Amino acid sequence: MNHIYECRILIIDDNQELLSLLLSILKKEGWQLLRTASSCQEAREAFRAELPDLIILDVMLPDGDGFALFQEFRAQADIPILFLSARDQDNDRLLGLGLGADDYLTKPFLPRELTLRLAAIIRRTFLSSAQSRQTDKALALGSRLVHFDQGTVTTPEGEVSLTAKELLILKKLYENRGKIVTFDSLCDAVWGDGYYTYENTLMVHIRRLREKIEEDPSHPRWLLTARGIGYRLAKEERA
Amino acid sequence: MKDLLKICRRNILTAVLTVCLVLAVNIIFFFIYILRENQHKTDPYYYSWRVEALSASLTEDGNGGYLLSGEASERIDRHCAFAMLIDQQGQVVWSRNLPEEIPLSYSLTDVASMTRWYLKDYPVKVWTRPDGLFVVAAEKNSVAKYDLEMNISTIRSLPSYFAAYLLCNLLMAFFLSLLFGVRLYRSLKSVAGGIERLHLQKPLNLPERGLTATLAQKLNDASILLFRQKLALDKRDSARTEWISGVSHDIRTPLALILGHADSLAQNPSLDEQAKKEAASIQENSLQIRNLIADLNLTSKLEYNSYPLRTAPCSPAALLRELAAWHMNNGLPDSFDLELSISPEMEGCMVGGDADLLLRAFRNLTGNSIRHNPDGCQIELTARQAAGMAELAFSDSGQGIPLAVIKALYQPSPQKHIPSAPHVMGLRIVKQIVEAHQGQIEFILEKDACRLVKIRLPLLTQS
Repeated sequence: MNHIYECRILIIDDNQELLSLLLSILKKEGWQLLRTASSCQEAREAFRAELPDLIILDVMLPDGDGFALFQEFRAQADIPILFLSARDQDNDRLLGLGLGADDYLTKPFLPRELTLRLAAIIRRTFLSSAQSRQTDKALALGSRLVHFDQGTVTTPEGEVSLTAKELLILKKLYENRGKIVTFDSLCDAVWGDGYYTYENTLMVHIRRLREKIEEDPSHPRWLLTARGIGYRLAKEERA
Repeated sequence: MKDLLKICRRNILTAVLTVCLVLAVNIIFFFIYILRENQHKTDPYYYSWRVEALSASLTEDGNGGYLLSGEASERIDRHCAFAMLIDQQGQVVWSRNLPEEIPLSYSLTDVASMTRWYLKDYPVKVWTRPDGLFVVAAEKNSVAKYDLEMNISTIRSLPSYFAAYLLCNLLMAFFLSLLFGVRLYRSLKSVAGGIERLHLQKPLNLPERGLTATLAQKLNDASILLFRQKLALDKRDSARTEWISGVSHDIRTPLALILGHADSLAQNPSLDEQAKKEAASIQENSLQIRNLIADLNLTSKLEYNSYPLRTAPCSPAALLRELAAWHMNNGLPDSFDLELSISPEMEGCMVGGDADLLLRAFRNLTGNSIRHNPDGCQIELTARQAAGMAELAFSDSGQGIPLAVIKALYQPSPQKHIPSAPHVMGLRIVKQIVEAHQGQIEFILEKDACRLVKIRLPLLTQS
């Protein structure tokens, strides 16, 4: 599969109108290889006829239970499955995810949210190497380039190495780029512990990181402080 | 059970103290009696027939007869039945007021019997003198005479006997009260256990016998009654929660269709701007309905304790930071100034709680501040320790929560006349979540609105 829209999707839901709506949403987004089923029986037939790349599965079906159908399909092929259900109980969500579902989305949902989640699952499952290549790309921060795979920063003066902790901090900030990451989340990502007793250590690591990625560490442009809350990796250069 | 042991201990102690008191009172009365007796003995009138004195008052008159002093005669007349003097040959040689039934001659055996016991039922006392035996008799039935013979060693060991007697009494009192205490404890134990089980709302089946049979029977009856009531209440609560859950489930699919179609219309290039706006409004309101359904579900589950709390140690400071970051990351308008102040002692403090649920409660409070102040305001979040609890304060400089809403929040059932019912539900969820965590919530009123809400949660650890 070269593109996420080449994915064959089987949509199983007992509500015909919702099936039409889902077809319309997915087609509009770019997916064309779509099949629908409104019962377990129909789903089994569609599954046998052509093995889908991904399944969108409702939990409550007229002739069976979506969770049982999930196990049946998973026993035959290891394909990603997203539950789309009106059952919003924690227990249902945990059961679905516990069985090994790739995602669990409750109705009512935003069409955009559904398509984004689908794209993420497909990318994760089928385009993982391409995705990792994308992640491994150097992160450009002004005149500096961060190489996550090598753990180095290329500066106009030369190459600087990042320590393991600095790399973890930067990765965490990069994953949430543009958003504030709390001190607690950073400490959890780096030391697997809370912020308490790591206050100064984290500050020291951030200072050293700034020395490596910022042109003027005293007036950071990229690694910004949200006072009393956490840090943020700025998305783009400020004017 | 500790209380029961205390009751039995007190019971034994009281019994022993009672015995000690009774003994002490007896001993005191005994000594008072002895003292009174001694006082009587020093009284000359009490012992006026003292044979020794009377005998000394009887003297020979030199003519072979005898002469009794006037005072002694008077005493004999007033206090004694009669007096006589028996010579060495057993013949009465002098007498005063001698009744006829009293013989005038005595053998050795008569004298021996008389001196120890009675003479014709007259209690007598004798005094030996060189010329014979002086005898004084009291009135019949006035004096009881007993022969007391004791071994000297017995008399010597009387103090130790007395001490042993006291000790035995005390021990007996102690063991008897212990025995009765244990019996009482055993019979009360099952009843006390029953009351404890009743307190924990567990069914009872106490044995209905012994001292506490009636009590056990009443408790069993009360337990059945309570259990039936609990079952009925649980059934009603569960039916209500399931109904809400079912309705919300049934609404979800149609709402998904509304949302989907509205989204499709909002992005339809063939529609004019007004139609797109209307579609966007449908979408926005559908999302609000979705959130309300989620709130309704949550509040009903919290109300009837059917929400499974995923309790784990969590840091209130971290939760507040996450809350602030969430608002900032989700487009908090620039007109809002969010201030976070965490006291140093709060770092490292943990509370036991469901972090997602607590965050939900905090988000409801700050969300209120944002939603009800469209022109912006200053929002302050503070965390500190107060009275051994984590105190989290949420305040804003906006219009605040109206007094009517706070009043509605503390009504036992949701009020129909509150204009902003959804907001009450949001705050009700906050209150329910705090209460589910054994915490306290305080709405601090200033004039007719509340701009400061304090939440206190029990601490697990302190830094």
